[in-house]
Amino acid sequence: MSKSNIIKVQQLSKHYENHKILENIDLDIFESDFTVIMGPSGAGKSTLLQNISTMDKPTSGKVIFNQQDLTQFTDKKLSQFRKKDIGFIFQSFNLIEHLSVLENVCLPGLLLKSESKQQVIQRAKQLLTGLGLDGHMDQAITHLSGGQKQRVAIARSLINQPKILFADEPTGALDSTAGIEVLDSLTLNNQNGQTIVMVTHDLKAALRADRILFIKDGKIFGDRNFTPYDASQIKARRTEIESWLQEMGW
Amino acid sequence: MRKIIKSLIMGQKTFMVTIALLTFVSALTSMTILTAYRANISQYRSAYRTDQLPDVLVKMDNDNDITTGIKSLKNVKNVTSKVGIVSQVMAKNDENVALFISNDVSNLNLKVPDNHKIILSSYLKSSDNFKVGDTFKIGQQQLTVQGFYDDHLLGSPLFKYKQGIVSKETMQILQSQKGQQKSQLAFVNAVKKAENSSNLLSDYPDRLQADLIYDKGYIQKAYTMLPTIVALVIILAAVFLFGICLFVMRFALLSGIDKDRQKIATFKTLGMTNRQVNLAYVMSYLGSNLVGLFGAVVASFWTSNLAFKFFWQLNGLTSAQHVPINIIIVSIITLIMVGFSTIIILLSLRPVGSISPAAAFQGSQSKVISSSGHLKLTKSKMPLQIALAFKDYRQKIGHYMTFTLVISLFVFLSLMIMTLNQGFKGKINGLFGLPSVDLIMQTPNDTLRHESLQKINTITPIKSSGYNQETKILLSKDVIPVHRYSQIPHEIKVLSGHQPKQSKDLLLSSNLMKTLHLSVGQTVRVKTVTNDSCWYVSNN
Ligand SMILES: Nc1ncnc2c1ncn2[C@@H]1O[C@H](COP(=O)(O)OP(=O)(O)O)[C@@H](O)[C@H]1O
Ligand SMILES: [Mg+2]
Repeated sequence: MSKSNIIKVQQLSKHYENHKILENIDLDIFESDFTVIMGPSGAGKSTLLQNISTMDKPTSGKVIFNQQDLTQFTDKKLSQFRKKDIGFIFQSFNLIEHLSVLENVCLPGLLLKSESKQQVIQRAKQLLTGLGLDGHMDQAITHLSGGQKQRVAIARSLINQPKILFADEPTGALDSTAGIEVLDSLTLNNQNGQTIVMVTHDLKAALRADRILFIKDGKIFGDRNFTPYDASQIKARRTEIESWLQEMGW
Repeated sequence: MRKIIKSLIMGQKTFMVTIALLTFVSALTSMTILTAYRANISQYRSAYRTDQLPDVLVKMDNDNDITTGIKSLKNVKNVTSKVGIVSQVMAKNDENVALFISNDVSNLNLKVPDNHKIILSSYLKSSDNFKVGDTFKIGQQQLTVQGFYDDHLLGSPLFKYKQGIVSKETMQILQSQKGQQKSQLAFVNAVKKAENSSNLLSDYPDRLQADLIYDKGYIQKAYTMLPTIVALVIILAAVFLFGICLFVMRFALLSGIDKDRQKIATFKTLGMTNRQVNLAYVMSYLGSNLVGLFGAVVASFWTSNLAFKFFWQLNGLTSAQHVPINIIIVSIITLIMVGFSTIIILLSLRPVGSISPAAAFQGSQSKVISSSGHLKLTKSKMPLQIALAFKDYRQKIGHYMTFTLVISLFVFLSLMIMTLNQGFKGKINGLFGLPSVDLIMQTPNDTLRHESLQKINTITPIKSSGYNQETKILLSKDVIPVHRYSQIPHEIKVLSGHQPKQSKDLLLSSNLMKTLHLSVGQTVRVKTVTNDSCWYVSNN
């Protein structure tokens, strides 16, 4: 079965002054995939994610979404794309202090304005309940644990039902139990058809992937598909992925 | 949008409160002062109108009827005159007050006082010169202060005469006393003068003898000058405060944007445009401004009345009316303040545009700084160092902005104070449009004085002239003016010695005695142009 691609990256390069981080990357991201980007520290994983997701502008190359080149978008079109079509999860959560949990989750929905405020709040509550946060809706962000914060961030990223969910080291700042909870909810969403692109250097996180991209020396050094995640076969999967990564020089 | 604004405001609570407070104080002071100032002028005008006060006031120190002469002038509608006496009285605080006393209460909303009583213009009460029940003597006649009234004509502290009203009988007693200076006030109502006509009020032949000729404009200026000075100073302070407010705004924005880089970048990743982020900043900062402004408008209902009362009393008037809010002043100040704030906010928002959403990712901020950061000054030669320092200044203009703003505010303030100071230096009258003395002539000879005035008048018309009897004496090197009295005024108390009895007795002020190191009984030599003689000193 051939999957349809949702993003097509063509000849993407990113340079910082004379420093070449990414060189002529060609890449397809497929719909409903859980794509994981791995690689050594400083390889340019985050840079790749930022350039694909319009958070940063590539030095050259194209990022095609819906037959349109995202790198040519104006500020207005870009913001529309960011609001409507993608969601983002950060290592450091990036929740807005001084707003409550519910307000944080509703924020992108209210910015998009495609639905009434009531509908947005309704769905935010559903999402939060689904993530086990129903008791914390009106709490201040500062009172939450790291794992709770990241789950709030997931709810926020999903509020507008984005086509793609980007995540940069979502478990990087969490202890392992909290990390597992976060990964579980990402996996659950992926199983419901959510396209996810996630950067990580955490093996536990990589286990959730349908596909792993390995970045090294500014290039895609390895690209491999795996069977969908299945918790009952975790041991075999772990060995498979670990050995492949070692092959790549991880 | 409201949520975002809330998060921005909460992130900079102290700054927001400071901005609101500074706006409040500066808006309040300027609204209060300007409203009170405008009210002072308009209420003064309407009081002047309701009292049916004259277009021109002429004061003449003689006995003849002056109305016929004035009435014959072409541009004069009607003339009435008040007859009275001018007398110096000693007030409680040892101040000499010149009173024009009459029994004429026309144009005054006033009941005639009882015999031997006097009603004084209210300035003498507010300046604590007199209170009800005080007594003083005019010649031999003792008068008791019965009350006060608002005198919109001569009540201003800037006029040299204050008015007093007595009953007809008391007036007759006063007038019959020997040595009282008879005086008249002529109230002239003028019509618009026909062009190119002669025989107008300005050609009034007797004006050279008039002690004063004031027109309506001048009288109003006398009533607005003190409030004008006070208002100017306070407005200056308000402008300075608002400058500080703008400065705080700019500083808060620049430092806030720097601190909130990640937050702003996160907003952008969530799909906010640059414009929306800017708008959020504009709204939160303007909001804080508007809170201050709104508070100021509300508070100014009360404070304008206080300020107006203060101005009214500065003018020597007491019965102040309620001042309504002045919509025009309030909206102009609001517009100006909001305008300037918006400009400063927009100027300070430039860095927002350059924040990439990528800054939402941890650590990217420090990378940017280290890649474009420091200047190496170690190995370069001197001129290059200056060039580099200049480059450095331009790069860090944001940081120096604080410094630049403070300095420019300081310069602005000093310049304003210098201008004010310069303006006030001996020419207050000219600055505020009050008539000033253009020429001072000194002569002991009355005939000579009249002739000179007439001659000058043929060259340039004299509006009015007055004269003062005084003598100048030469003290080692300084010339000191002294008043010479042929008859001792009642307010002069003899401290030691006695009133002059013999022709060569001399009474000197205690200050002059001290300066000259004299004591009672000593002989001084008084040398004048015509005379050189010795006098025996007694003291007052
Ligand atoms: N804004 C920037 N300016 C200069 N260099 C940068 C910037 N962002 C990232 N880099 C450099 O690009 C390289 C890749 O960074 P990144 O994509 O964050 O790596 P990682 O794979 O660890 O996520 C690193 O060497 C980093 O120093
Ligand atoms: Mg990274």
